Amino acid sequence: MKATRGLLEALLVIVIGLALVATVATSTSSASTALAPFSGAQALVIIVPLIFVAIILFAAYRHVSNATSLEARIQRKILAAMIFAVLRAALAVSQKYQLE
Amino acid sequence: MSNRILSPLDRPVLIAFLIILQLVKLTIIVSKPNSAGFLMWFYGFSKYPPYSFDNRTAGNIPFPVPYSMLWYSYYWITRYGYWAFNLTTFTIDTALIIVVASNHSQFYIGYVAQMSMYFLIVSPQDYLIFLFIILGRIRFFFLPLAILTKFPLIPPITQPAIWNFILTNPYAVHDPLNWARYTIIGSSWLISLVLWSFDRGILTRSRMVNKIFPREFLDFIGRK
Repeated sequence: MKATRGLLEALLVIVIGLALVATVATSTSSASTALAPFSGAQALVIIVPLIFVAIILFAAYRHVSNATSLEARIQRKILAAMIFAVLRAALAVSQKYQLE
Repeated sequence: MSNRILSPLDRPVLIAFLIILQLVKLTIIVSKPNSAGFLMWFYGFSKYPPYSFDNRTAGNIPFPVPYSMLWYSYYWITRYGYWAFNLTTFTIDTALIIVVASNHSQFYIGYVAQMSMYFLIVSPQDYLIFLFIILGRIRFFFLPLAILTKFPLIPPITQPAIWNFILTNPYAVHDPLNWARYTIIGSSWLISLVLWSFDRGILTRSRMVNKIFPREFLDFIGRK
């Protein structure tokens, strides 16, 4: 029960975090944002927290990778989907800022 | 087990990451990456009375600041310049990260770290609102306060020129480039509301499972 509740929290915050990345990655600067468009600072703002989230996700996946219960299998699939989404977002950002 | 999933990193690793994150923020602040138009608007408003149309942005375009007096009180420090404002806000941000890291899961820290990076660097004029949104998970009072702070409502201001500016100017809500920023503010507000509901037991696991993920669906996912 606690694990499911916790995982739901994790799901929510990561989905929102990814929404942040996706929206920032597909937007440019406007009159009321502080940074100049396509600046190195703008890329750092997105990439650095993304790396942090990706490492947390990988570490979490490692903890459930050998478990066999139904709940663990569901958690594993959700975490795998999130890792894929984070990597996909990182790829999109790197393409946008030509970091690759 | 659940703790190791939500907080999978060892404490020293997490602390090292958070220090790196704060150092990156500090480095960006030191590099002074702000656009000329933003510097003119954001660090110029304190020279004029609140809601003044004399405050301008690049191209000498009149750009008043249509936020609440609470906002003005906090951001009055911008009159002392870039360093005074940014170092103060950075200190508050560091305190926020320490408090969150001491009381919440690493997933939640990751989320707050992403959001704080955005609001501190890209949208500093919304940092106070972000702070209220994060506090809103603990005290509901801060969630409506965050909305009121973003509008000229504390004290109630009914100056028609300001409301006309809010509703018709081409730079804020009418500029599609700003929609991402509003989406981020709206999303973080909603997530705080959901987490507050969770913490208070208003939104329960059984309600979520029954209404969003039927048991058959979870069984199906488990079999695959």
